[in-house]
Amino acid sequence: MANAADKKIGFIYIGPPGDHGWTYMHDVGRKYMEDQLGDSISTTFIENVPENADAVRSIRKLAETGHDLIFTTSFNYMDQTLEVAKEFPDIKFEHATGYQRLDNVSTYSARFYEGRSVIGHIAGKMTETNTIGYIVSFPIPEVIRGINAFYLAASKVNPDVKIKIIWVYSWYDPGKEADAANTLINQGADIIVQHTDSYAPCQAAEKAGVLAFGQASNQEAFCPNAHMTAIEDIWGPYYAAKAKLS
Amino acid sequence: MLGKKFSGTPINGLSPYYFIIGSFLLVILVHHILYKTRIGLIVRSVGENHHSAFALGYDVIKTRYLTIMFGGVMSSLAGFYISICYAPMWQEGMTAGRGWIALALVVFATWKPYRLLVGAYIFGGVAIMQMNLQAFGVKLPGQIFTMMPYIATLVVLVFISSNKLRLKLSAPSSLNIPFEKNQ
Repeated sequence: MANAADKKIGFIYIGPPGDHGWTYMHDVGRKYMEDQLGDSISTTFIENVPENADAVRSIRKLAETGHDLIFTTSFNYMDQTLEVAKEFPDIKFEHATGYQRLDNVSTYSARFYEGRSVIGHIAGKMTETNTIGYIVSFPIPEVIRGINAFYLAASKVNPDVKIKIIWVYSWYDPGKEADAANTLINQGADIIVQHTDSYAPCQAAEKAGVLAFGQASNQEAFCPNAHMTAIEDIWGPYYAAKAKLS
Repeated sequence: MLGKKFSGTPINGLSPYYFIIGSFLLVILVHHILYKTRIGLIVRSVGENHHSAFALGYDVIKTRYLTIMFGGVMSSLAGFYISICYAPMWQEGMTAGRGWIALALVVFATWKPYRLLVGAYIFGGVAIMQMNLQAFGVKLPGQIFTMMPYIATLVVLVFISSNKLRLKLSAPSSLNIPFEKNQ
């Protein structure tokens, strides 16, 4: 049971923990942290927080309810995190994948581009139509960096490779993601790569009999034949280390 | 936890063809009932002027509840389609706000079933077209593509509402007016 002396750690999620992608892996990280630190911490999360002014309210709510450390787990929470952090200088904030910091705001990310490079290599070797479909969310540094790393590695092993890109302007919209995957497959893509959070594209690939990569977590359960491999985001050890320090 | 966990469970999808054929049949059926049968006449009269309908002896409150329930059944069919055919899975929040489009479509269609069909296909068509254009590599900023379905809706809405009389004539005149017996 939590008591007043415990450290309280809060999380802001962009999607539901049940997305089996990005948010799911942050939630797995949060649970890992709880297991590692046991009763000395208690955690709270707010899910489905939109990346607009509403995020300020959610972050402020965590700050006002006595949280010592707050993780905001999406790129577009950057300005909102800084805004709340200025009001609460004694609380520590950790913002995922951004580039602006303050004394009490730090940035954490992963070298996703290394994973993108590996799957780019695989895709370059595996494609038969030399066309790869890539579903992307927003034009932010992390996403663009991912496309470039993927393309560089793919074109190195297969100079004829072409990448078709569809921007869906959403992190999580299974319907739109499935539509994008089907459009790309209809236009000759035989490998589907995604930088959105649901497993709908992988499932669409499974249905069409083409190949795909999982996103953020192992999604083999949803597309056993299409799924080649996935970049898995393992946040747990970082979360646990930060919780110990705070 | 009791029972089976559905979140993240793969669903053996149904072929969408049954739904597509069924949706056309439903629109024809609803149009027929609304404009060609006695039930339709009662439903429309309750929507146009509930006091007159009441004076003629129709149960306004019962009719309204039943029609709302019918609307609920239709919406649930749409939800069923999303999680069984469109993206065969169940994940929280997977409609991603799509239900609002249904509301816009009703205004767009000025409460006429056949126009609703046209509106739905314009919206869906533009949504798919923008993805095809993107994949073909048309050089336009992605934001413009994503805006397309909404721009199309706005343009048609502006066109429809440019004539106030037309809008007034098509919307049920007792829309949003609560019914009270003793007035």
